[in-house]
Amino acid sequence: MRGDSSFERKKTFKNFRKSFTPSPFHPRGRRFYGIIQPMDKAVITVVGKDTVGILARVCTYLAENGVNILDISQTVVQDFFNMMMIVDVAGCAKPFDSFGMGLSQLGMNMGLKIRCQKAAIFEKMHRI
Amino acid sequence: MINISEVIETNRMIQDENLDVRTITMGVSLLDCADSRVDVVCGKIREKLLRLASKLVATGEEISRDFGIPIVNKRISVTPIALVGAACCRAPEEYVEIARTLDAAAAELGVNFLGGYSAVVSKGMTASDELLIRSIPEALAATERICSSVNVGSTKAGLDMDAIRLMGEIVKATAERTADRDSLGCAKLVVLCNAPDDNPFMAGAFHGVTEADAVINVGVSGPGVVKYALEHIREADFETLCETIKKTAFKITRVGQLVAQEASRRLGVPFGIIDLSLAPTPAVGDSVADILKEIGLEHPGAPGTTAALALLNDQVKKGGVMASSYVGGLSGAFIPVSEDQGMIDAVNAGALTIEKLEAMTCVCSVGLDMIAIPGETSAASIAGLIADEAAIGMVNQKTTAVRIIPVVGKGVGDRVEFGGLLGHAPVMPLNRFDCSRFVGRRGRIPAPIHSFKN
Repeated sequence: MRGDSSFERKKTFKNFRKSFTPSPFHPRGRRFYGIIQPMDKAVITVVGKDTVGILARVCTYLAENGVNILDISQTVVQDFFNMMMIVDVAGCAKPFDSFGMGLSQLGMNMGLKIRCQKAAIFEKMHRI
Repeated sequence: MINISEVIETNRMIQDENLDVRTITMGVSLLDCADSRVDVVCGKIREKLLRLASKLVATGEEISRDFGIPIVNKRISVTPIALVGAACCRAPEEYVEIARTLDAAAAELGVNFLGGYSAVVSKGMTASDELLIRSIPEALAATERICSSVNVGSTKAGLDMDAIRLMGEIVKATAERTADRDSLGCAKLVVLCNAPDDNPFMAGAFHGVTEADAVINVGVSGPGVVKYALEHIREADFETLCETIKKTAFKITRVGQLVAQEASRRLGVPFGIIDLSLAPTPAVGDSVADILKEIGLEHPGAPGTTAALALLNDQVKKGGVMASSYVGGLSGAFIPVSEDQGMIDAVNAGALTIEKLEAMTCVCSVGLDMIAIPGETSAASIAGLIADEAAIGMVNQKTTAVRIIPVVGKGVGDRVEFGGLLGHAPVMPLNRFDCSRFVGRRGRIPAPIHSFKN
């Protein structure tokens, strides 16, 4: 999946179209009603021992909170399972803060370290 | 789109290599708080600080959580109080009253330090400047969070030797006034030459008169990240060494730039500068001395130290200026002794002396910083040390500073504990020969010839 640019384009385009129709019922959607709602990208990282159902449980949490996944990739570093998700939290039902805390709580229950950070820190650091 | 190895690299820097944003410092002008009555001035200062900085700490924590980057300190710098109190203070005690007000406001806002209990006397002292300077020992003893600085010279104005002589006495008096706490007051007092108006780092931070009403300045850090990067290129040539430091400094500064812009936007206060300094802490792995060791020295202080530090300082600046359009403050490598475990080890091993540290300050960003000396050192010797350091700054057109602690009741070989970020330090010997006839002369040292660039 990684490096597949057509996949990324497709997902991004889908999201772009979605952004034209923000839900007026959404707690944060109203603010943007009538305006193109911008994307708010965040990066979720999961580090720990690989087990069955990590992706399923994280994705369920994201779906429950109205968070769209833009990209997923994974690798093994020093025998640890590393997964990275790029998500769009613009439509997230919770404030970013408590959404992130929920994720790290979920991680703790599974014996994993889950962090959620705004994507800007990575973009700033690695792109000119 | 961001890839996984970049994400892992950033998070490793934060989690394992102590990358952090050292401080968000809000500069606040208090010039409009001046009045002819002390109580009115105190009331106005309190009102203005609480109005402008009420969300500073909460916003810093919010940004920290959003980006997953620690923001260690939230601080405030204010207009030099010698100016603010000039119209109302007739005695040092009245300046102390303002210091207490600032301290109470800082505590209420939750900031850990407030800088700007300062006087800028590069060429001469006004009556109010002198009153403020004379109030410093009492002000630092009576408050918790106030930092004080005095600028005693500049390349353009020369050195005010009367102020330097007075500061020798004030440093001594501050040490004696806080003798029960290992002379901790001196850790919050710095004597500068060529002090920048926009420095976010304590104890030398103040909000200069050239600045806007309020401004956000950010100080980044990350010596651990540089050290880690250099571990992988142990045998490489100088070009690779420089390139690696530069790239790392760029990445560190970009994080600071992001945090500064976010803080500025969320607080509605203009962004000022990024100070791209490598600021060590007593924590293991957060040391500038360790970088020097990684470059190839057994201990800082060994022959070659000044050259290695010059290289490090220059590359940090070169990487940093590419990452932010507005760099300022002190920007470079800090070499405090008590705040850097590697420096402490070097002193204990007998590798590092005050004279070598003085040579190192010619090429690094600040000066003789957090050095404990015997309590019996005379005021004249301290003034001589300040004059030496200020002369380096004046002639080399750079900022230099002296933050030295003559620890009452302690001698060479004893250990002093300051706690927290200020760390601990072995008491170092200072040259015991006398300079009192030199510093006893009145007047000032003229500006150097190369300052005439008009």
